[in-house]
Amino acid sequence: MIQCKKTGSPARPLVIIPARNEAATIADVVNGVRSQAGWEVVVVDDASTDNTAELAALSGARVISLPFRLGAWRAIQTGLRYASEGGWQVVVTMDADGQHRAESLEEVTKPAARGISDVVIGVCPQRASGARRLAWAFFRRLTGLKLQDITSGLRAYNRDAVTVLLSDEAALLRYQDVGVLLLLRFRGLHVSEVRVDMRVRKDGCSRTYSSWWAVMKYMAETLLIAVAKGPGSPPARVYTEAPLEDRVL
Amino acid sequence: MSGALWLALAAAVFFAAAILWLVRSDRLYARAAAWWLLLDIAAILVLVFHGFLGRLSAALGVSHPAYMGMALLGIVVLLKILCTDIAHTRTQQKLVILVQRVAVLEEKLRR
Repeated sequence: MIQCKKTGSPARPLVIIPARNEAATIADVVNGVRSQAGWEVVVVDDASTDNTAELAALSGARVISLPFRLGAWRAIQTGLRYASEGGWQVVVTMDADGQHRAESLEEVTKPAARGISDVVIGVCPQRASGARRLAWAFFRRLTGLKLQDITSGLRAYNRDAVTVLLSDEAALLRYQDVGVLLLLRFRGLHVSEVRVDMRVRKDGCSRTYSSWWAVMKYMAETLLIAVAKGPGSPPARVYTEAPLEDRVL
Repeated sequence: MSGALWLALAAAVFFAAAILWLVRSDRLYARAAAWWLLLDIAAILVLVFHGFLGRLSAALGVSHPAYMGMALLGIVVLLKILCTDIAHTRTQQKLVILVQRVAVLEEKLRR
């Protein structure tokens, strides 16, 4: 591992991939990252019932296995904890279902690594269905968040952001979108977006929105957080959320 | 006191004894038991001095003291449930952090 001379911390970003029953795609995703970027990959296995963990390990990823299901956000947090203890300065999170391209990692990571932004979100608003766009617009209006894509799992975090996301209150969140973004805003971190290209999900369905019941639970919880924490939260330090690059895909 | 009041008083005393037994057999921890005992003692006091409930309900314009008692009981039970959920949230938070730390530690040990 290449390390910074001054701090002794890894110079390259760490890629965190939360995965639950992603045996069909995990090997390709890990291999893609390792061949494209050559960065270290840690897969957080969220108590999969298939051989996701073995396949990830065989592909060269470090695997953290959760003893029981914690959900995607808490699995990501586990990876962040690992990164924090390992001294990584920048971490990137991406989905295990093959939606995110390894080629996007560099551009998502760059602003965080250069200190331009604390959090960078790789966005592709075109991927969303009409219903999801409507939900995003609703939550944006409710919370004052100006981000185009509030659910994207392709994100780069610097060390300050990782510290915030390992706080006790972050452990109460279930999803990485509105609650996490409001917490980052509350702590005055700078969040920005970068447009990236994304693939269509290979297995065709989202884990978070796997059923109507799951959608209802998500909407109820997110609505509650948006109402309770959205309005009246302290003004951000330099929270602009302006897209850094607005590339045409 | 009427037969119904004696019955309610007996139930409250039985409830207090049950709480103590739960603590004694390690099924309920002391802080939670203290809440329930406090509630039970309050119920016993209201039963013994039931005239107070009558005066309170008259002052507040409630036609039957029993309604007043039920309303007070409902409020207290709701508060207790809310406190339980707050405690549950804290426990959940600690459990998540603990599980995450153990998982990271396990990964380190496997290396």
